[in-house]
Amino acid sequence: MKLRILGAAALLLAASACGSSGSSVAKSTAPTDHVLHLSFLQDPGQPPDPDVYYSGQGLLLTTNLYEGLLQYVPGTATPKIEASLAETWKASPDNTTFTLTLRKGVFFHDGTPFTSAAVKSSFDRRAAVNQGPAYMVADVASVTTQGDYDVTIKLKTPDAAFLDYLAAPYGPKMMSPTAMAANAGKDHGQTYLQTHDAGTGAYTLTDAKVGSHYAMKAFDKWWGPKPYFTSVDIPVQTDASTQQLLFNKGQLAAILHDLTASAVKQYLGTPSIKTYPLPTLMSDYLYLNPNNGILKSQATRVALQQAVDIDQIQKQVFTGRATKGVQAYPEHMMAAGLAPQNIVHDPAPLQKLAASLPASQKTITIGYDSVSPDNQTVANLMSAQYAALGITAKVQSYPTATIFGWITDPKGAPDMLVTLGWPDAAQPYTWSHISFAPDGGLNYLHCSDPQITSLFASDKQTGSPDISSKIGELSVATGCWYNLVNQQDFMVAQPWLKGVQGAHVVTQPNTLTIAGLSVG
Amino acid sequence: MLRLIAKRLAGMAAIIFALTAVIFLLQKISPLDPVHAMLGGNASKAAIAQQRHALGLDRPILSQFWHYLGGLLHGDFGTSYRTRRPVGSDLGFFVPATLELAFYGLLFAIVLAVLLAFGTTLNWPGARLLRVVLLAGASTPAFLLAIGAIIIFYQHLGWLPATGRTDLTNAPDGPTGLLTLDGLLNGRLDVTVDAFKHLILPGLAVAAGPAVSIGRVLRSSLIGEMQSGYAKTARAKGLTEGRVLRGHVLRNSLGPALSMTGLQVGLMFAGVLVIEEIFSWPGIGQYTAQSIPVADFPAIAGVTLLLGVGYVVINTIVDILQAIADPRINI
Repeated sequence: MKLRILGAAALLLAASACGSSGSSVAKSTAPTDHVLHLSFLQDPGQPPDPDVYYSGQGLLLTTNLYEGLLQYVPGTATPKIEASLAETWKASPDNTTFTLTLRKGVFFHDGTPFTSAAVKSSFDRRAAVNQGPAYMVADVASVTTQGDYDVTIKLKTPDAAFLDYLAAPYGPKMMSPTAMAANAGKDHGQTYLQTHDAGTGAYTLTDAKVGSHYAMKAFDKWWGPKPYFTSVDIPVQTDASTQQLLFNKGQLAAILHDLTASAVKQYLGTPSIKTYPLPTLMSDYLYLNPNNGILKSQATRVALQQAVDIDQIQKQVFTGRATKGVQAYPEHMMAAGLAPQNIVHDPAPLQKLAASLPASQKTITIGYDSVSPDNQTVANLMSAQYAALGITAKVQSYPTATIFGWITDPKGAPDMLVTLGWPDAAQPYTWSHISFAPDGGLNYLHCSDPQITSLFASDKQTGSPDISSKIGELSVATGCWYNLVNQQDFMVAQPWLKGVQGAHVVTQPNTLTIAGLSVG
Repeated sequence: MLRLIAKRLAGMAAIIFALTAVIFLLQKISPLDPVHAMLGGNASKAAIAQQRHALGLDRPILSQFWHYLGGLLHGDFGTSYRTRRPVGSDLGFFVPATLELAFYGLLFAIVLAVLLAFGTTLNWPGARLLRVVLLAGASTPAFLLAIGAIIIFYQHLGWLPATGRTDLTNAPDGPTGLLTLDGLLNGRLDVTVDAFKHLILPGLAVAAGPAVSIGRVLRSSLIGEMQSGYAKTARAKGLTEGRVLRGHVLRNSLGPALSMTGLQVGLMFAGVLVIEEIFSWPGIGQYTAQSIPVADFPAIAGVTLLLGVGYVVINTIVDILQAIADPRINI
């Protein structure tokens, strides 16, 4: 044991004598070979097939390889839809029919010209593959073409969020009908798209080795301005501190996601690199379980919410990369003032409640998603805050698959859960129905309110901000959901990398539009 | 010998059966929902049910179990829920990386162990320093040793690369998946050299603990044998200490060291999994670590079975080597 401690101490001393990683950032010079060096922290986890990929960091691949008919304006916190492969678009007043005129002069990476035929085949493929993002086309009744460049999409039922789906990072992307027909195999080309792409984006996929390395190169027939970077090298790093060492040595141009709280603090104090807290729709939510013990009481749930000192959490965990949640929805989804979340920090009600409870009811469990070190810290801080008020909170880690498991079988779910989430698109309904509906896919702890449920149909049909706001207000009143903080994409980049802010889209976490980057 | 191999093969089959049964049981009683995790929060109940059916998860557990065992007999480990590729293909990519790292780790460990044992037995100059360095290294947790090595040899000295298997973008993909070997087989010495450079830090981090364990056992065995009657006779005949050790004592001392090596190889795989994470080494450690949170059962089962079988195979080889080194051992 003595030797073990001595060994550890010797190495730590060696490390500290050499300087910590954050304080020894080497001066990096802009690459002259037009190669952009980035990295993934862990493998994206799913193939870069836009009809399959439904997670976070791999959006760097899917959103640069593929394009949808519409997109969100980059470089702004306010989600606003703009043209992409469709130049103009129109929705019928009842949100069932959408007519679009396509951009001319667009080519797929295999050389096939982009025409209206690709819209139908791309929609059909998404439905046939039937993976996570397929729900966005589930209500499509027909896709009809009027010539090569006009398309009409009809829905079975009105959906005010449909245009947002077309613009969303997980939305339907256009795929070359030629490439997909030639490589369909028995799985609608899923095997092919694990290592190739069939999009129109500014970049094409040149390497995809799971867990090891990905690469892209600029597409010379892209319809937009010629990108500065001719290729992008993306090795998979599995350790955050090693990734930071590579960045500090100048081997990476930027780190786009998952920096730890301590790394963020270090980089904020390092003037030789650029830091970018960029707006997103990501929020850390606290879920309270209305089916467990003392939390069955709405008053208790509210008291538990009020006892959380968000300011302390924000300061200790999210310095420089999050704002306090003041709306029931993630920030930027709704105009300021709508869906207010007026939860004022007040430990007194919980303290009073704890004093009146028998000892057997003073213990609760706070769960967090095991992949999020931030939420572990949040849960620990909350536990300490509750302990001071007489409530013992046990902190417990759960794998993602366990958390999803509670949706079908709530047995074993904790009293409270801290987890990060974001909607697929910016329209409020895209968040409310999966979070607050009784059968919502993110309603992990089974909370519902008949009043909320009755509003979903009209919210979907009209997209009325007032209805969305009302749903948000009602959700706050249940005491089941608490938007703790709105997270930003905290990115760090070498000082020579230009255009980071303008290449970031509020709905696309962990990623940048690489065609928008340059050096200078 | 044939009897031993037959016995071990039967043991391997029993282990596969038992491991598969345990994994299936754990999967059944666990509250994990890989399908919902795969499809995300927007998936409808119908979509989840459809996917569950497509994956065969709606069948009775015994039916799934026999189907899986049948697949194994045909070399089919199922399809990963995460990578969406056959687990066999995934293992074919990740296992060579781990094997290469483990092989070099073992090689470094044996070289260091022999140096430690011979040096301290024969009182070579510098042997004490080597002993102190190795003991300090072995006493340090592997992850800390790895991070320290990266800080010193990559960040500050810039002598060695920190992550991955190679910096070359055009390294050959085959035929073996072992880059140092594939470089030679493809006439690409640059690949072999670059891959070896990438192996040094993780290999040494993996080797430190086993080197000391093997070295200490070998040393005490050597010292014991050096006191024996036949060694004294050899010395009386005028042989030097070195010749006594190499010519007479070494072979008789190898048994315990080989047993320890067999044990250490098993433990080394556990160490490799941690080292892979730190050095971004695309091996089965990384594959497993990413499969667990999303309950990628086929991937987890594939790795578990592979490691179980590997452990039996390695111990069988060690038993055989022991028998060759010392025919008195009855196996």
